[in-house]
Amino acid sequence: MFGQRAAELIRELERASDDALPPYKAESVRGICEEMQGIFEANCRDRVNLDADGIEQATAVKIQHAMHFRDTAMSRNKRCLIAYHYNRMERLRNLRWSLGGIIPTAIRQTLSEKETEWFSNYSKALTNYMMDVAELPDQDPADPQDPVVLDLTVHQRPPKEYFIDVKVLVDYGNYETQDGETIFLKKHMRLCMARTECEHLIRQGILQHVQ
Amino acid sequence: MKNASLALTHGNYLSLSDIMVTEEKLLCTLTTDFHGLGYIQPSTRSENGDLVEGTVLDLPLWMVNPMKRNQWLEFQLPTAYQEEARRILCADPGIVEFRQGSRCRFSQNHYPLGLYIIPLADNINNSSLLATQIVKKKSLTLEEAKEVRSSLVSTFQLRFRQIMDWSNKTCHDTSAHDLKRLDRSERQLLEIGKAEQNSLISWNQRKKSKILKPSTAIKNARLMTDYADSRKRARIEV
Repeated sequence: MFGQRAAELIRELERASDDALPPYKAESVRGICEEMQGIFEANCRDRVNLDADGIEQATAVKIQHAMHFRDTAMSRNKRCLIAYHYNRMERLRNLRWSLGGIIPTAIRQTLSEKETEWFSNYSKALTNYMMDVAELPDQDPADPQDPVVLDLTVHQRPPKEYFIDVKVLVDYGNYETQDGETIFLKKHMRLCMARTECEHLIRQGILQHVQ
Repeated sequence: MKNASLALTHGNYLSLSDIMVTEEKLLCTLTTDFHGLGYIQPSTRSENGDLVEGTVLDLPLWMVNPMKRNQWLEFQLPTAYQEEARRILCADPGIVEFRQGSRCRFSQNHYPLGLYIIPLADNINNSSLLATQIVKKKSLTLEEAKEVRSSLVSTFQLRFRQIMDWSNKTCHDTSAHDLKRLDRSERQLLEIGKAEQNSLISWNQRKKSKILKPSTAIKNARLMTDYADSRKRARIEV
């Protein structure tokens, strides 16, 4: 029966929790495309058969029914593929907002090549937009000073305090803060950092917020 | 944003749960021939490989829908919506288990599947149906579709009361046994209700948590790689 691989693909993505990205199933996607190609070719053959001379009316009707049947299956496969990619893209976009511009390696492995490309494009567009928003109206565009970026991805909930206490969970190494200072992040360190600085690091599981 | 409610996902082209609902199988009888598709049901195909009239087979809902519109097949109403099941639901909807393997084969997609099936009813009333003798095919009549619809509504009304109760009283986990009984959309309702109840409680106690939490996506991905690593290590040690 048609459409079984497509259903399998969707089922896997649907079972994963709402923001998880299971590994990209390149092989299934290729298999579904091949199935669609096969359906398309079969329909083309039937179209030629329909045009042939001396075909009985009854056979022609049967052929038309079969073509319709296969066409439905093809639309279904198309819908599954589009929904699969669209939903993965949605989740990837949520990642950009919660984790910042760099994808952690653990997640990077689950993405396809096109998805990585899309992510970097989206990230670039978002950064440009944030720079546009932050631009002061009286700033001379010919003489750009330090580019000011208004980071829209932090403070998605109203913050209560400017500095927060954090604990370092992994050996991270050097981390450069926005004012140019470098901090060496080592496991079990306790720090008091600006909330804007460490929000992404907390989301990535490098720091832990303590009270 | 989470597309939680059924109203948002029903018929939505890109919704994953809607795709899963339309994958549910219905038992169908073909009323016409399909050229060269005999391999779908090899046991009853004709000599020249056609799928012939009268073949009985399971077809997914996404196939039944357009085929039915063309009157190329008749489908049988799933057991979960038939008279007997409706009577059970009428007696006490609260105790019915919506899961596979239960009596009457109630499915996890009871409401959305019902919503899809109702419009497929034949638009002929009972008397003319008797005259044309199609009764033997057990297809869904308009009268029956109306009954299915009212059964869906009353079932939901009575079960919703119970879900509301659960979400108000149990701020902790509802037991797994109770969860198993719920339809998928009901489970989402319960989760929303519980979350709201919890945030109301914490607001009442002025205990709004300010702690930032790591993203769950990261946690999941890390678990997966850890698992892969441990597998690799185990293989090396062997």
